[in-house]
Amino acid sequence: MREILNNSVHLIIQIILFYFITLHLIYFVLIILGFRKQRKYQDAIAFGEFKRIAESPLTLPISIVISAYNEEKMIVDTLLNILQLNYPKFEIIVVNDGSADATLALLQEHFQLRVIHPVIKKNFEVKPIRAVYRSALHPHLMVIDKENGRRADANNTGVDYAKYPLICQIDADCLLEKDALLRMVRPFLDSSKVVAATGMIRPSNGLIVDQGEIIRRDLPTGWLPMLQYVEYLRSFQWARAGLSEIGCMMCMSGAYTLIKKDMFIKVGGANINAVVDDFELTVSVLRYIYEHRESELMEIAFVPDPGCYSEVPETWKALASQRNFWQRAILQSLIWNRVMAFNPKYGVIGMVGYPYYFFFEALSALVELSAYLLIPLAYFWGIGSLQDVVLLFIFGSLLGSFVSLSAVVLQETTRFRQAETKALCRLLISGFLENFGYHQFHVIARVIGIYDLLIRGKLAYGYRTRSGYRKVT
Amino acid sequence: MQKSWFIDIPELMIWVAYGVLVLFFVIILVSVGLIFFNIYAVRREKTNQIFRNKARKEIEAYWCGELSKKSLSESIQAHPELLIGIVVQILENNPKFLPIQSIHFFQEFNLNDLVNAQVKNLKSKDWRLRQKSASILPSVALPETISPLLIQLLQDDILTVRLSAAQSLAKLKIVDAVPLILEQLPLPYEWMEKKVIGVLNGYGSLAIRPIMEFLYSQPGASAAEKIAIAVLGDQKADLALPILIPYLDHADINMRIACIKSLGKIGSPSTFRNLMFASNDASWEIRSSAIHALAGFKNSDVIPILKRGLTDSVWWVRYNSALALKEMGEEGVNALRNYKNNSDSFASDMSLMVLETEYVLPDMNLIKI
Repeated sequence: MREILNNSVHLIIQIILFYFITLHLIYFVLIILGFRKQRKYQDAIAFGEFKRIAESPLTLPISIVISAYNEEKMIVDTLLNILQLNYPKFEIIVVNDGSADATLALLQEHFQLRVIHPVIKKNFEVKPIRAVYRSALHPHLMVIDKENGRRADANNTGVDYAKYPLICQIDADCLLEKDALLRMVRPFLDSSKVVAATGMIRPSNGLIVDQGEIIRRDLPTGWLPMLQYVEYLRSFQWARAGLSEIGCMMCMSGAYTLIKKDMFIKVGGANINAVVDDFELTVSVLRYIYEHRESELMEIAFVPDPGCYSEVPETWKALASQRNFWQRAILQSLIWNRVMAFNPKYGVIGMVGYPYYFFFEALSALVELSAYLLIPLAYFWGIGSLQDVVLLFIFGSLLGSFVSLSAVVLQETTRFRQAETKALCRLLISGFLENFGYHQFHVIARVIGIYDLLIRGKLAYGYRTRSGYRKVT
Repeated sequence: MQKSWFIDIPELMIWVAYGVLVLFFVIILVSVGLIFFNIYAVRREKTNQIFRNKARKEIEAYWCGELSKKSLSESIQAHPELLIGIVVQILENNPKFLPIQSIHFFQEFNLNDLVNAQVKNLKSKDWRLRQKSASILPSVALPETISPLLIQLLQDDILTVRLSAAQSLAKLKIVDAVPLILEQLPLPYEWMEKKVIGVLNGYGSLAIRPIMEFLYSQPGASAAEKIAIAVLGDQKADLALPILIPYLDHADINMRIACIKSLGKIGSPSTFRNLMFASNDASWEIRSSAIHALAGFKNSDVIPILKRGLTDSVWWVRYNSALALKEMGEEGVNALRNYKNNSDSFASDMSLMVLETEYVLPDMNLIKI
C-alpha cells in the first residue's frame, strides 16, 4: 500500500516538475517571439507614416468609451490626457457607472456639462440611464450617467451612443501616449481583415503627470508595483506579442482595445454575466471569426508599442483581489467556450491557443500551489527526497527568475532602455525577486479565485483602491 | 538515501536542472554586465558632454582670435570623433561663424580623415548614416566635393535621406538641384509639401528662375507644380506672373487655390482684376482664397468686394471676408459695424461675431471644417 502511495506521489512530483519546465520554456520562447515581433514592427514603420495617418482624410474616426466607477482620483487627469491626443477625429464617451463618489460632480465642475437628449439606435439592453451630458468646453466629450451595472454594461452603453466606426475601450485609470491612437489604428489601415487591435500596457504608478500630460516616465517608487512592472514586461509586453505572432492571442486588454463597432455589435457586445468582459469579448470575437470564415480569415492585431499606462495595485490586499478577479475571468470564459478546445474548426486558436490558456494560464495556479505544498510535505514525511525540493526550487524559482531577467535584458536592447543605472538595478532586482514570494503570493490569490468562481459563483471585483497619479512637485 | 522508486527521477531532469543553473548564472552575469555597461555609458556621456562644452567654447574663441592654435590643438585631442558634431552645432547656433571657417579648421588641424569618413558614409548601406552625413557635410566639406554626391542622394530609396540631401543642397545654394528636388521629393501630403516648400525657400530668390523653367517644362497637375507655385509666391516673384496667371484657369481646383495664394503674396496691382474675378467663382474654396488674397492688398478698392463676401452663402467665405475687413483698419471696421443691423441675418451675425471676438484662426484661408 505504502509502495503504491510512494510511487504515485513520486509520479505526480515528476509531472509537476515537467510542467514547470514546459511552462517556463513556453514563456521564454514567447518572449523571444515577442521581441522579434517588436523589432519587425519598429523596422516596418516608414518615415512620416504617423503624420500621414494623422493628416489623411481616410483615417477612421474613433469613439473612445471610458467606463468609470468610483474614479474620482483619476478621471479628470485621464480625460485631460485623452483630450490632448493627436488624432484627426475622435469623440470621448465617459460612462459614469453609478459611482458613489464625486466622479460625476468632478466631471461637471471641470468640463461644464450640459444635459442633452441625443437620439440613438439601441443595440443593447442596459441599466437605466439617468442623464446624458455634453461638455460646453469640449463638444466632443459626452458623459452618460447611468445606474450601476458593472463594466460590461457601461461599455455597452457607451457603444450605443458612439457615432464612429471604431470603438476604443479605455479604463478610467489609463493614460495614453499622445500618438497612441495613431499607432493603434495603423493595422486597420494596413489590412481590411483586422477587426480589433490591442496594445502593450505598462504600470502608470511611476509616471509624473501634469494636467493630463505625461511629464516623466519614471519607474514606480514602491517595490510591489516594481514587481508588477517586471511581470507586465514579461507577460503583457513580450509574451502577449509572442502569442500574437503565432496567432494565439486570446486576451485583448479591456484597458486598451480598439474594435470595429459592427464587430462589437455582432458578437453581442460585452457580456454582462462575465466576471470581466475583456477576455470573454476576445474569445467571442475569435469564435465569430472562425465560425464565419469568409475567403480570408479576419484578424485581431497586436501593436507591440507601449502606448497605454494603467495603475497597478500598491497593496497586497488589492493585488490579491485583482489576481483573484483575473483568474475567475479566464477560467469562466474558457469553461463557457470549451467547445473550442482541440477543435480544428477553430484553427490554431482551438489547437494551440485554447490549450495553452487552459493548461498554462487557468490551471497553472492549481498545479503550482500543489507543488509548493506536496513536495516539501512529501520530503517531510519521508516519501520524497531532498533532490525533489531542490529541483522544485530550480524549476519553480530560478527558471522563473531567468525568464523574468531575460525580459528585462531584452528590453534594454530596445529604445525603451533605462537611462539611469539606479532604475536599471531596481528593474533587474525586481526581475530576480519576482519568483521569490511575489509569484507564490498571487498563485494563492488565483487558487482562491478558482474556488470563488466554481464554488461561490462570485462575479464582483472585490477590494480595490486608487492612488492617483504623481504630480509635478 | 531513499529506497528505490517505481520510476526513478530520470537522469534527463537532473541534466535539465544543471542546464537551468548554467542559464541562471549566465543571465546573472549578463545582468551584472548590463549594469556595468550602463554605468560606463552614463559616465561616458557625462565626460563627452563636458568635452563638448569645453571644445565648443575654445573653438569659438579660436575663430574669434582669442585662443592660440597650439592650445586648441592640445585640448581637442581627447575626443576628435566628437569634433564634427561640435562644429556643426556651433555653426547652427551662431550665424556669425561661416562654414568656410569650419572647413579650414579641419584642414588646419589635420582632421581631414573625419570629414572623409563622413563623405564615405554617403554611400553607406545604413540609411541612418547616409542621412546623418548628408545633413552634416555642408558645414564641414567643400561644396564642390560633396554637391555631386548630394545630388545623387536625391534619388535615394529613403525619403528622409532625400529630404536631408535637399536641405543641404539648399544650404549650399546649388541651383542645379532645384528641378531634381521638385521631381524627387514631393508627395501628396500637406506636411511633405510644407517641408519641400521650406527647403526651396532656403534658396531665397535664387530658386525663382529654375522653378520658372520647371513650370515651363512640366505642365500638368502635380504636387511638384503646386509646391513650385507656392515658392514663387513666398519669394514674391513678379517675374513669374506670366506663368502663374494661366493657373487661375487650371482644371485642378488645388492648383487654382495655390495660384491665388501666391498672387496674393506677390500683391502685384496687375493681378487685382484676376483676383476680383476669382472672388466671384462658383467654388466657395476659390472665393474664400481670393478674398484672403485680396485682403493683402490693403486697398480701399477691396472693401466693396469684401462687403459682398460678407453676404456669401458659405460660412467660411463670410468669416474670411469679415476678418479681412477687420484687418483693413478703420474703414473696414466701419463697414463691418454697418452690417451689424443688416437685414441679412447671416451677414449681421458674422459682423457681430468678428467684431466681438479677439480670436483669429491661425490660417484663415481654406480652413477645413
